Amino acid sequence: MLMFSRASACGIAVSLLLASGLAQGACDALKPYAGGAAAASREQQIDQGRQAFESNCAVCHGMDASGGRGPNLRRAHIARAPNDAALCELIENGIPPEMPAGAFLTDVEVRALVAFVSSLGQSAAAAISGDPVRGARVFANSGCSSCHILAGQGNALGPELTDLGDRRSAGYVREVLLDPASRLPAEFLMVRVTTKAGEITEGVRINEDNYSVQLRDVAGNIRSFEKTELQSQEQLKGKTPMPSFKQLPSADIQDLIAYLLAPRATP
Amino acid sequence: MNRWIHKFAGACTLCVIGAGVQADVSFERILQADQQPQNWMTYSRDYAGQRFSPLSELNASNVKDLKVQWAYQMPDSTNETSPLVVDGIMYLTGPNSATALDARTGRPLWTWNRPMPADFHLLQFAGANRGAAVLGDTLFVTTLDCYLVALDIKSGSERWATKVIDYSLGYGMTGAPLAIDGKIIAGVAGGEAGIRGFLDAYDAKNGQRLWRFWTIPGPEDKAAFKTWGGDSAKSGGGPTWVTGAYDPALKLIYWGVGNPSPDWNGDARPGDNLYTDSFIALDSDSGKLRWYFQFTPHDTHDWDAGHVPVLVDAEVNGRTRHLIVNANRNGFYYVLDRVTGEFLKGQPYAKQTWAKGLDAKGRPIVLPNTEPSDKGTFLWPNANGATIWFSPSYDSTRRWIYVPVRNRAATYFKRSMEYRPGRYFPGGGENETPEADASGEVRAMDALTGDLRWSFPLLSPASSGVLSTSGGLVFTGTREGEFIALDATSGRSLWHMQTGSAISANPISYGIDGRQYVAICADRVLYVFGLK
Repeated sequence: MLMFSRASACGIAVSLLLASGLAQGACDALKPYAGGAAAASREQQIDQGRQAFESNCAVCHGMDASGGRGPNLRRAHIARAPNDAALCELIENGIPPEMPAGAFLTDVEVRALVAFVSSLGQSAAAAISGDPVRGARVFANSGCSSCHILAGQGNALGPELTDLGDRRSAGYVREVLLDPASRLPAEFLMVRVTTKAGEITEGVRINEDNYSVQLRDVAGNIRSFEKTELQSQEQLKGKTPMPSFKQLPSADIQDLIAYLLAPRATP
Repeated sequence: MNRWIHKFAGACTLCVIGAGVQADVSFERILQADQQPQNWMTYSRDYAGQRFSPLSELNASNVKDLKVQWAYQMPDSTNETSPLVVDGIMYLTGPNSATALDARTGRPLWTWNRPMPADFHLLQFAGANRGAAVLGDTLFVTTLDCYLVALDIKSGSERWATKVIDYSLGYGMTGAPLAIDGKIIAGVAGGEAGIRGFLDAYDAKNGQRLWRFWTIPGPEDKAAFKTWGGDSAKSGGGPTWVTGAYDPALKLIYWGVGNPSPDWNGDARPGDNLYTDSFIALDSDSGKLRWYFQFTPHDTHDWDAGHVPVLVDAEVNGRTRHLIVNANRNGFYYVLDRVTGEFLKGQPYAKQTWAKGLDAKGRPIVLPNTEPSDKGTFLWPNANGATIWFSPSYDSTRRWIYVPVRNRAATYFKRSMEYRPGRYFPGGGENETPEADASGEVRAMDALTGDLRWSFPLLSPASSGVLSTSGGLVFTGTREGEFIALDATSGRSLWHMQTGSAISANPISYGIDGRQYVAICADRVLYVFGLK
């Protein structure tokens, strides 16, 4: 019944939140993750977790965990839950006011959910066997920083890469490097606007509402247009300013991935 | 002084313009809501569910000058409340809370909170509250932990609190009650938890329950009970979470009934699953069922009928008909006779790929292979439907209905599930299509046919209700946070303001000292607009 757009989640009293974290137990054994001693294999546990996910979580996160009203969980690292213990506590306590606490879940279910959710970001992963030091040179020589900021250096035309390892798997990054248009994020969109004066601007959409659109143009400038100023606005679906790097030797690609995904502190 | 003040000042002995004196809100006052256009005394302003304001100070010429007059920050996020305004005082609700504000300045007058029980956990999708009811000198609110509470309207002090049902079974209460002649009608949420739904009436004076209508039948309701295979009715769902309408002449309450449980797996509940996904018409004195109309028999896509029924009187083929109309979550627009429940007309108003059409009795002609499946079944619309709980608006002078529309598809999955009390019981789920492939509209339609008059495109599926006014304006909010005013005749955009957060609430309009105001909740902030 009460389903609505992602935007329409609702508030709930603070007292409710305080009530939700009381039942501890499932997470105790997960500091660090210990698995179930007499329990199923990791694979079985992940499968149990998938079933528990579909029954309890998919309503908001989607059946494939790629997001709905709740966020996409198919990512290498979840910022709110950097390890299994934190993920377990997050499932038990919820995220007030939108995500309900898992007070109704059994300990076995919570642990299975932890196993399942933490497996999601690894499903497309490839082994990171490259040399990050060499990869840094590939990064510099390939001109990546002309469009991306990494560790405080570079330009902001494309997404920041500093925390890429928290967001993307090696397999995903490889696919993007070889064929950028094949793995555009759902929210990524290039647009071309033409003003009534005839000025044409192409850029990456930063934001849009029913009356205005904000772009980052190919020079990296932020541009804002009222739609009443425009004679046309085209969506350039499938287009990206990022070139393919498939001409690089595969060892360079591997090193570059290792560099991009290396853990690093944000500046 | 505005024209409507002149027009109604003579007829209105009770109304006091301004915030100085307040009179009790009798049933008769709500019945004659049109004589007090400055007030908004029930969820949809009138019993007919029309969400139309007779105020006309704001119009297509001056709405460009609309400005924020005041704002009020609420303690909880993403509020969905539809405020009430009576004699210059506004009443707002949140989850387990209510607040009275000076509607001229936004200054709080009193607040009330009910603590949540320590063992409460949220199973509803929304910890929201969508509004209050007022009758006499009392404000009536529902709570997430399933109490109906009566508050003294001048102080917020509790007069009584009645336990409606045990929340630990997965029930919740999020909707505005409906106050009629001495009775408070209230429904429940919980369609994803396998509840057994019902609609209740309580004595406004003391909170005693007068009747309960079970939306999921027991064996005594033989015909309806047969529409549930095995013992599936025990966890059949059928919540009543969106406020209904009332016809005082027929003494009938009209209410939407939500989805069957489990939502996406119909295998365990063969049959039509009455009275889920239906409008029900109940005798207001006895709570007995007069008629029902089921929009989506044996629903497996969560297209519940949690909608505000809109009551329309019109000449059809030379004869005055008392109608009830609905743009349904399943993508079809329906026109019914509200005396008998007879289906008169229906047609799709949004993209849908699950039914070939409606038969002569309004039953959908379902296409093959549209059930959720193990590997997924793709179709339009998604589980949020072509529209959802937020209100349409009906302008009787044009006989047009304005509907917030959602265009988004999904892949639906079915999963086996065992019912366990107080837990989610979805039996599957959906993967929505990417946002880039989704859109929204405000559609103006001929209320008697559903024929399109105009469409105002929205970047995202609609997230907010609609208000139309006698000044020829249509107000709504958007997912991107704009509050907008459209020309009611053409659908042209006349004014907009970025509120800073997605809007998921119903707008209202009210008046003080001859000035017209429009109010909307955007996340934590209630904005009030006017000309100044």
